[in-house]
Amino acid sequence: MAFKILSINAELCTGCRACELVCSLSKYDACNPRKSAISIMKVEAYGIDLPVVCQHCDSPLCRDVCPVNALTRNTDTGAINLLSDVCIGCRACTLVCPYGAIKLDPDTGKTIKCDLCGGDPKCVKFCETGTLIYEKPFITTYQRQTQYLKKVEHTLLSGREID
Amino acid sequence: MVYKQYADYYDVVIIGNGIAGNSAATAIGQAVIEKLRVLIISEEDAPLYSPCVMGGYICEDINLDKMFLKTRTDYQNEGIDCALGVEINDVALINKKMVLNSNIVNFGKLIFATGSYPVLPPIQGSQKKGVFFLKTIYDAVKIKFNQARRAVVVGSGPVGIEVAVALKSKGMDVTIIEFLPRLLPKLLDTEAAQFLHNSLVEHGINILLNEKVKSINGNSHVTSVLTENNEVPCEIVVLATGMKPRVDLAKLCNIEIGRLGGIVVDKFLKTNYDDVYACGDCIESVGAFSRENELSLLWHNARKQGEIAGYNSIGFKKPYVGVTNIVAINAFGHFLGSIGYTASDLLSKNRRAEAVKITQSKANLWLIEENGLLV
Ligand SMILES: Cc1cc2nc3c(=O)[nH]c(=O)nc-3n(C[C@H](O)[C@H](O)[C@H](O)COP(=O)(O)OP(=O)(O)OC[C@H]3O[C@@H](n4cnc5c(N)ncnc54)[C@H](O)[C@@H]3O)c2cc1C
Repeated sequence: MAFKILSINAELCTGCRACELVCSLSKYDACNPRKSAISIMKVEAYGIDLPVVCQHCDSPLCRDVCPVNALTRNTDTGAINLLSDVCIGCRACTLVCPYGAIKLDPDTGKTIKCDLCGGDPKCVKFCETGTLIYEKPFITTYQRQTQYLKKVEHTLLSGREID
Repeated sequence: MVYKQYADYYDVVIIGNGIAGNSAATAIGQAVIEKLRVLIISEEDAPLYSPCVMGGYICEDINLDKMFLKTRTDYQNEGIDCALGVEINDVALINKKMVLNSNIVNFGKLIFATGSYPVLPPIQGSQKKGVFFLKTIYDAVKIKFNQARRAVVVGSGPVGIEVAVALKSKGMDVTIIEFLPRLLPKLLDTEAAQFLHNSLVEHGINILLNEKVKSINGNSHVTSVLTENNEVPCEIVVLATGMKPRVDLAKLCNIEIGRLGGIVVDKFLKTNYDDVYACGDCIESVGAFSRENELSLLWHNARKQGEIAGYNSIGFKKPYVGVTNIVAINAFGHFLGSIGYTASDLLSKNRRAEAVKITQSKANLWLIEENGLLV
């Protein structure tokens, strides 16, 4: 069984940061990007906005290094979830995440990470641009292919002789 | 207490109740629909716990129940039988039998997850009262509840640093004695080690580098530690001079032991016997980047290896990519992480590596580079 996946089409992101706000609001009752499991990385000089969020890796290093088994795979959503009362704030997971998708709560010192909102991610709901998509992998793949087609459509057609 | 009788036959028997053994058991449980009979054996009479947080336990940041990652009923719920508090002294690998509390147990597959034990350095007087190792939860309890005022920690590996920080936080006078010229010699290069050094000294820990401990003095109880140049008075000594793979049983069963002292396994974590696998601190395995055999003795590697040995023992063919060096340490709120190899380590292998420092706001990062490339 394939789980739905949260995929990112960074080209569409305008950096509005609604995802950050809705994430921290739903998890911590505060509109605070530092308490959001998703982050928008901004490189102002180049106009880049890159959403960074947990990829729920197949073989997650964060789960492996956790000394108290606070990170576990949810069998319904496939997400790697944090048991926050088990977390001791040792930061090993933040050290190893290749995406930098794990943060620390500035107040409690514990890990903040995406849990896909139990299978209904708020960030996706509030993403106006379609940057964030939560779908089964085959649908995501199809969407990607369609986007690719749109890009090359013109070239493909212009080679033809149509009158 | 009357011990529970064990079944006559188990599909898989796992020797070792550490993270490696438990990950193997969990993987087996998750991999197949039909219930396989799994038995975990351990000499220690305690359910799975995490040694990595024992420092926190000693200085009372973390209470005892947080250290335990499973309860005895969790094993029952997972359908795993366990024999805790039983040491295995022999296994007949050819007939696939072993004796367990005077019961004969037959098995289909066997997994060695026997872990590691502390190295006893050749120091006179290390049998005295007040001298501790830190490996098991019992050691942690003993260290925590001693009434001493002054402690000496011998060795400045991760365990040494953790104990020193914990004892200092409890209000004791702490001295670290290290034979090599810097702290965490296997994990940090000189400049990074100096940062840690300063931070520990700032918090009042005494550090003696380049000093070899000659003897531990006292009548029956420790009163001081003697090095070549110093005598440090103390009531307790923690010997944190490293861990070694525990392979006594494997050796006795004619399982091949490697040059580094760990059980030799192939890339599927199988030993030189069919149907016998090994994982965790007791094995030597290939480094994910060096492609040479290494001893890892780290939690995350033990967990991953356990999972893979578990799957492969029941017929899967999952290759193991190799060990990675990742250590995270919290020294009085200064967080420190080490990933991969140190420049000194690579230099000793005739590679031209250097540690390049990058400072970003409050954090310092050293990248290990060779000919301008990150290694
Ligand atoms: C104080 C301390 C701090 C640490 N901190 C970290 C850290 O921060 N990060 C990190 O990555 N790693 C850390 N480690 C290392 C990590 O704990 C080990 O790598 C890991 O626990 C190894 O697990 P294991 O299952 O291979 O072996 P072990 O946990 O050693 O388990 C071995 C088991 O085998 C049993 N056994 C052995 N022989 C027999 C026999 N003949 N009969 C019956 N039973 C037997 C033992 O009783 C035990 O249950 C730390 C270790 C210590 C001691």
